[in-house]
Amino acid sequence: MSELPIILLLLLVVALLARMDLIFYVVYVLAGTYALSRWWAGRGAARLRVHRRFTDHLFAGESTDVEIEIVNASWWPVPWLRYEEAPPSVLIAGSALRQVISLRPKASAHLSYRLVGQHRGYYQVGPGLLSTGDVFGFAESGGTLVEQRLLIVYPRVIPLAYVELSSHSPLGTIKSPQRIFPDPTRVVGVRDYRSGDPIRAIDWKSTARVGSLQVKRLESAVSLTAVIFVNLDAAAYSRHLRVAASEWAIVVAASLANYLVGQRQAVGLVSNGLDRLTAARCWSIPPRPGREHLMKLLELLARVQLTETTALADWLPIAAAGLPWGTTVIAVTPSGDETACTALHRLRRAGLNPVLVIVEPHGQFGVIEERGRRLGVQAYLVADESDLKHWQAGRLAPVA
Amino acid sequence: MSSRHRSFANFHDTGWRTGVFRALLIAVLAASAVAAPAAILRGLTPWRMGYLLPLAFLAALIGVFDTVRLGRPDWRDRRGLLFRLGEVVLMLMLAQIVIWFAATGLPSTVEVGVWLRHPGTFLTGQSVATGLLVLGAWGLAVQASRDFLDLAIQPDEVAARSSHAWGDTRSQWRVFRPLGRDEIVGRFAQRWVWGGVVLVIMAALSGLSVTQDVAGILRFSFSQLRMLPDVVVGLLCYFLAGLLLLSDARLAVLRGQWYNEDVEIAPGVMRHWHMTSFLMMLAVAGVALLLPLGSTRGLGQALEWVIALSMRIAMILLFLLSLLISLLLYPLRFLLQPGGSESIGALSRPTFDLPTQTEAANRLPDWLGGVVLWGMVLLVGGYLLVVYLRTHGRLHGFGDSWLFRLHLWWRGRRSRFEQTARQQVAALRARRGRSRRDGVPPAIRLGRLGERLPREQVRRLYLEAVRRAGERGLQRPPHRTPLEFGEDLDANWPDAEPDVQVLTRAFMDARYTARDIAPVEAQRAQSAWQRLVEALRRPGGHNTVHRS
Repeated sequence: MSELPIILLLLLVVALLARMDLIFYVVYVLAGTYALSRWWAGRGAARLRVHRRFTDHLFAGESTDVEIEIVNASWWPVPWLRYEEAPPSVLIAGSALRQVISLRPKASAHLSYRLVGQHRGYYQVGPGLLSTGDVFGFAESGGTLVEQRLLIVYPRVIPLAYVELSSHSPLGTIKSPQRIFPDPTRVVGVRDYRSGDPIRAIDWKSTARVGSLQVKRLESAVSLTAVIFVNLDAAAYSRHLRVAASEWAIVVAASLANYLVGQRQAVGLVSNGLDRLTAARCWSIPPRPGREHLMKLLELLARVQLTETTALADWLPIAAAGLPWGTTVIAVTPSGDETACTALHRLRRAGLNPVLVIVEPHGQFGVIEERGRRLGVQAYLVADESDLKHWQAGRLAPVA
Repeated sequence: MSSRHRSFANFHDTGWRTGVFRALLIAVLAASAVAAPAAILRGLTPWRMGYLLPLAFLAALIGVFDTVRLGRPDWRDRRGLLFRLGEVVLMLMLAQIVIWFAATGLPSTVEVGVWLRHPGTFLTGQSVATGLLVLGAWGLAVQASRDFLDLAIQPDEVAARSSHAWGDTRSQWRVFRPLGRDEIVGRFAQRWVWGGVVLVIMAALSGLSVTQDVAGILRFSFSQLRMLPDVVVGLLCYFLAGLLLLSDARLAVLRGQWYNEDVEIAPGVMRHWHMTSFLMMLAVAGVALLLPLGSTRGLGQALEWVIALSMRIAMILLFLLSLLISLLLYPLRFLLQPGGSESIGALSRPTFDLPTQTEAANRLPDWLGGVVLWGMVLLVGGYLLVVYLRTHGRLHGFGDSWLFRLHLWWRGRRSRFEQTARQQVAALRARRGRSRRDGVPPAIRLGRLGERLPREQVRRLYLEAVRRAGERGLQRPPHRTPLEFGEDLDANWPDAEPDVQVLTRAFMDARYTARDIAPVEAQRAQSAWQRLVEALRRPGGHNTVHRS
């Protein structure tokens, strides 16, 4: 139909020569239809407003409906409007959204599709592609809904009731079997005075009541300030287990962070993985308590990706440089090779409390255990969910 | 997603193909295309042609509906030239009858006598012009209908979409289409627009009339400055129907695209499409009525000046060019000189050959040639018409049974004649000492068969068997597959059932498989064929004769 303007010109010449009103009228109708169609198609697309609404943070397994509202702000109807959007393939529950609708003047239409948080990650929802046109095929116009919103699917969090983690930080809120950290605010009873007991430990009221010197019995408590190091160096993982093991490492880190925050402890997160949002490698979040902080940690764990980056042994001493004395350093890593254990040993000598959590199945974990025992590093093998349950039950006895 | 779309029963887009609104629009478009030529003819001749537009509309409507019906899968075997020729015969007959009733009146016996003696006089200018215009409208309607049938969702597209076979790509299911939907619409639009230009020019010329002055010179003049009402209506209908059809074609393009890309279509899109295009056209047509028209503007005069000036310049250039060519050819003028006047006189002198008395006595009657010609025309035309009507199922009942009996009679005469001829030929050959192999019927000679490839041998044997069965009263209709026809043969000649099966299977292998046919298979088929032919010769068969 590209030659239609030329043909209209030709018809106009015939009309002028013949001076017949009907031919003029035909030319007017054809030209008017052509012009109106082109104008209509362009204007229709320009006056369309598209809004997208959805819940942009999902926990694993949750779902959200992405609702798209298309508003025709003009006084002209839109005979056909094609809207398509390709949502992240790992989240889409059905097929991609591809729909054709028509809109009356000043009317709106609602389209929707469902996203299911099947896989942790950081996703872009959109853009949406719009195309419309006239009913005669003279013109077609399209547009892109540039607005792209982010959807974060948090990693899976496995609720942990109890995890055997030791600490060297006194004056905390966690009961400790280590008697060297008595908390003067936690009086659990009295006993008879023994030679060597400090004078200030004597409970004078009980002494007066009983008639002999009584000493307060104090409960030991520690502060389990922890920083979780997630090793996401691709080279450290076995090639065939790379994806699954790194995802499991993130699940373990998220579960530990959730557990520690539940215990009202300050938790930090350090990783050498790639943050997809900022494109940063080797980033850290200092330890803080509270649920809000936990969400921040989970968000970062949702975004982080396995990458070719600095090895754990090189990066660990640098990342742990500013941590306070007694902080528990939980290194979640695929393997406990000698260099990693040596790096953790250095942290121990610097006054920190290193814990090694191996997330890849290891045939010779006994060697790592023995190495850790000699270097003063607790080592656990948590290669799957059953290992995690055993850890909770205290059956994964660390060797320190 | 597929459940959201309308289902396509039997893989065919029946809803789209059988739309009445589209058929009417195509018929209106095609019929209105003849309004302007008819007006020109009326201006140039004294013919009464008021019947033409309704007749063209009827012809276009027949063309549309026949094309749509031929597009149906169960009409696949009826698509062919004979059907279309029968349709043309019907159109021409209708046109001639309408001319007699509406314009010239029924022919007298004297006129019929003249037609018999001089068949050429039957074809008057009016009947030829009417026939051509009606056929033109019919052809336009058929072409447009075909375009719109091609725009429907095709069976391979439905198959590609509904296939869930693992690993199958859609292209595996799709048949290559020589033209995409966009190209089909572009072709239709181009035809419509350029046809419109021609119609507009014809409409402008429709006021032209030709007169002859006393000196015998033809004088062209515009007898009327305003267009005739039917031209106005025709022109408007042509463009408005074309625009609506263009909108429909656009919908077809988008619909196909959306279907193939699994796009869900809201019901309102289809429901409001035609109404939107109609209202838009109505709005534009209403506004166009308010615009200034051509006769009030001076732009036309300016354009005439420009054209006149261009014409004069062109004429001057042409004159200069011809002068130049004349000057260049002047030295060669002796080549162009004419010969002596005597030879011209000799050539132009008329000669009269008077017939001798014997020639005059033996001369055939002058009406004989006309009768023979008319007989041939009636036979061919009648046959085509019968084919057309039978395809439509219009000859069931008495007419059909009568025709069937006639057909059987003719077949009996023909087979008897062929049998006699074969016997005569065989006797002649026997007399000449040619020996034939025992048991082999004369229709196929083994010497010839042996020279053929095994595949060709098997095919020939089967076709010969079919022919023989036809002679025995069991015709194979075009829509019966070999297996189905084999069942018919089994039912009529039960004792030949194993041979029928062997021959049918061999034929299907030879006809439809790509593997090589071994000579042993051909020999096996030949043995079966011989036994089958023997069985066909025996009486007691053809209990049920299949009538297609």
